[in-house]
Amino acid sequence: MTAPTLVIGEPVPVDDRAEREQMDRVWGSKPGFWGWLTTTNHKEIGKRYITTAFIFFLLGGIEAAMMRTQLSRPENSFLGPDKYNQIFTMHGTTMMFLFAVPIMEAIGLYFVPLMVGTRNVAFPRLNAFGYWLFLIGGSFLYVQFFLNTGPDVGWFSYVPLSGPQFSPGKRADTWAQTITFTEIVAIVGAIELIVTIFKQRAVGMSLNRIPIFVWAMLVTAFMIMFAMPAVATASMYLALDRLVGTHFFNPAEGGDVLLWQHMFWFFGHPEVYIIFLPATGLVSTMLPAFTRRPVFGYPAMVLALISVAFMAFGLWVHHMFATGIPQLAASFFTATSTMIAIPSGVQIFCWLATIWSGRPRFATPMLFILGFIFLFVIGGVTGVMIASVPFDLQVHDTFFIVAHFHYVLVGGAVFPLFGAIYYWFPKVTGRMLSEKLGKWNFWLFLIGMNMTFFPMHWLGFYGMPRRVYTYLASTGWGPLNLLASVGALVIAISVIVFLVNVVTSLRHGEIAGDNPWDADTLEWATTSPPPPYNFLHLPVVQGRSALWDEGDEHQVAVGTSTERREVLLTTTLDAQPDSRESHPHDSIWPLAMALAIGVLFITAIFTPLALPIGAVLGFIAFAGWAWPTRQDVESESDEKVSLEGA
Amino acid sequence: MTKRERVTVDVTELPTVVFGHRALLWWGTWGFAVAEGMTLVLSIATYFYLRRNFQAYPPQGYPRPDWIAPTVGMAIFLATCIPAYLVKKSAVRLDRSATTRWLVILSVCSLVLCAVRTVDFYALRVLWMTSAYGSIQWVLLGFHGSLLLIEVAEVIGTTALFVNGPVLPRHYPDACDIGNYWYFLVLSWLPIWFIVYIGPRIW
Repeated sequence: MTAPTLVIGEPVPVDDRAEREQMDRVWGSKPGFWGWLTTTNHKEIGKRYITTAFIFFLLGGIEAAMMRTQLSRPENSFLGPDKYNQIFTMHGTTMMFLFAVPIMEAIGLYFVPLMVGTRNVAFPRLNAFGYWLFLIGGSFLYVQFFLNTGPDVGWFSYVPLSGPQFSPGKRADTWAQTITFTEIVAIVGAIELIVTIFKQRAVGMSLNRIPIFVWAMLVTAFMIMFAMPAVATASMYLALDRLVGTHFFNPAEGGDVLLWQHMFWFFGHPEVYIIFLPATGLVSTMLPAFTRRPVFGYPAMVLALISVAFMAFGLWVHHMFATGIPQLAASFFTATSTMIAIPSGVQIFCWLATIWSGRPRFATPMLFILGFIFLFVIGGVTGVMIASVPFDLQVHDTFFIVAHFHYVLVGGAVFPLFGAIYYWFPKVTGRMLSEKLGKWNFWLFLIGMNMTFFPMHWLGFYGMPRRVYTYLASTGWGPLNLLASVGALVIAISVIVFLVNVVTSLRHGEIAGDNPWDADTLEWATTSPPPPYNFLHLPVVQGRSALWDEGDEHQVAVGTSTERREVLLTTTLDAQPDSRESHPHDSIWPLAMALAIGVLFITAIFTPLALPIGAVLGFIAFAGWAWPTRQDVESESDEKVSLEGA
Repeated sequence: MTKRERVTVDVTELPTVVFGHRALLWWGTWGFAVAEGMTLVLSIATYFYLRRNFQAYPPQGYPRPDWIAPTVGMAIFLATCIPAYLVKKSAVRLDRSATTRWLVILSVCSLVLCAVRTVDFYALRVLWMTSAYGSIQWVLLGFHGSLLLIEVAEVIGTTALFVNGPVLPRHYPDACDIGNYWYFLVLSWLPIWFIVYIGPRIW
């Protein structure tokens, strides 16, 4: 059976089996373990990324539960001080570097190509490389932890505590190298997303028509490009101070400990928005399906995203109010920290207006959206409070801060994430999650979250410092700590309910169909789960709500090759068809490259020989990656070259 | 799929190999250049931040870095833009022999620049472990040097492909992007050279 010829203006024949079989042959990965190792399909990589990051979330959650057990009563001896230090460091490092940022990027890497109507992410081998490097970096941290060499200096790793004088041994080196791994992974992912969004959008999807989640990922990717180099540079300085005797943070030789804080928070504050902005994008993209109307104020939403991104780079010093910075600087950073509430508020009011003027349907994703708005407003308001220097100095390094940022990060990112999982699980697996278990999941999470973190505001007011492994009964902190610990147990039960839901639904969940929520974005225009090539015929977009604006007929573009992997490139602003570019086939070399870099980073902690060894291995992997194979030569011999724009 | 599909766009006639901002790799190359450039900017910021901790700069007891050899090196850096430009120009003409020739010359240039960088380190006249002053001088050169090494590997690898491999049409835009990245490498060295070797003689 041969694929039919498709002509402009004609409807596509209903029987498309031959075409699908052909596209499966071209875009499918090899079967078996080899195919699993070599695949470069963004959905396969995205699923692994999401699953791996979620496993890290569970590990970070277990660490949190251990801390709450330890703090549940005064003078408890469940964890000693050394183990407690390691556990809270592992919790923060895991949640920030191995869960929150990677899972948001992973969702982007899975869904952005589908939402913009293309067949794969730009640079698919780089995508596979990023995942393998993430897996190696995360595994390295946990292997070190289980060998009692896990970091114990906090997720922020302040010097001089983490420097060679106060942290001998390899624990702080483990932290620094884990960071190097994750920063490279984040930057690689950001570049893939930017290029995919700029160059691979469906015909007609001009920049003012892309889904808000795609806007959020675009803005976030740019933030990653400018923020992550700061922590990568700082962790490099730290490693050099520790391993080869430089003096960046040694005041006795002209170094400066505050340099670390500036570098770290220049990354660290944008990091919060690198986690939060994709979450807002998820909310804005899910909301239309549950309110039956496009999101209110699309231009305002997009401008809010962009302005938050800019402002996020101008307020890092509010983490350093207690370091004795000049008064003028303190005033400036108070102003900028307060100002960022404006674009965040714009987003919240747009969501409220969407719900107000729509016909809300309270399915589980919608519940998580409402929970998010409630919790994030609390976290945002306490954020405005601590933007004020006198208030900040009172609660600095107390549990008030712990309460604040958990409302922002759990409320502002984890709730939308759970909502997103309920929303897109049908697309990824073809089956619905149980609504009944979903509601249990939501309510237990909401109750547990508030039980755990709301009392921490009071604990902070009562003076309980962060990062202490125990306290005396005479402080009076026992009852509120016990309440917080019971809340943590409720969250744990909620997460177990979620896992049960996922496992049972994978086997017995209701069959989803292509578009179970009757949503408006392009990923719902293909089958659930999508085929390896995403869309048999590439969609043509006619409005901001792609599937709602097109009426009864789905317009498509034809003419990309069915004989080889090929993607359609469009112009950056207006998404007009521009070229067809051949697309790399699967390869083992991204894994080889990740192993080479892994060897380099890990052995660098122990010996300078790591550099030549890593360089040689890296060059071999690079050569294997880039050298054309016979398959390349066969499929790319007959190209049509255009020199326009050269 | 419940909706009927109708063909409204046919892209059969579009080109399959394009150059410059129309190609994916162009964007990827500049993406990495921006992220790496940010690292260099932050290192320069560190230089000035640490400088505040010293009453004199270079600190008392440290000689000023030599400037003559690094300035000659800077001139060599700038001169290598010529073969980089000619690589681009021949690649746009899809001229394999000319592209190969200029890539070979660029490879030799890249090795010469490695030697130049060694001289640059010697010209600092300070070791990284003596003080924060020495540390940041070495790191500025080292960060840029690591970008140079990666580019050396890329240029030599691409040259080997053009000399002896199956060159496909898409490799010509790739060669152009090597030229683009080369410009970034040279231009990003300019401020570092000025700050490290010339600045201490001016301010």
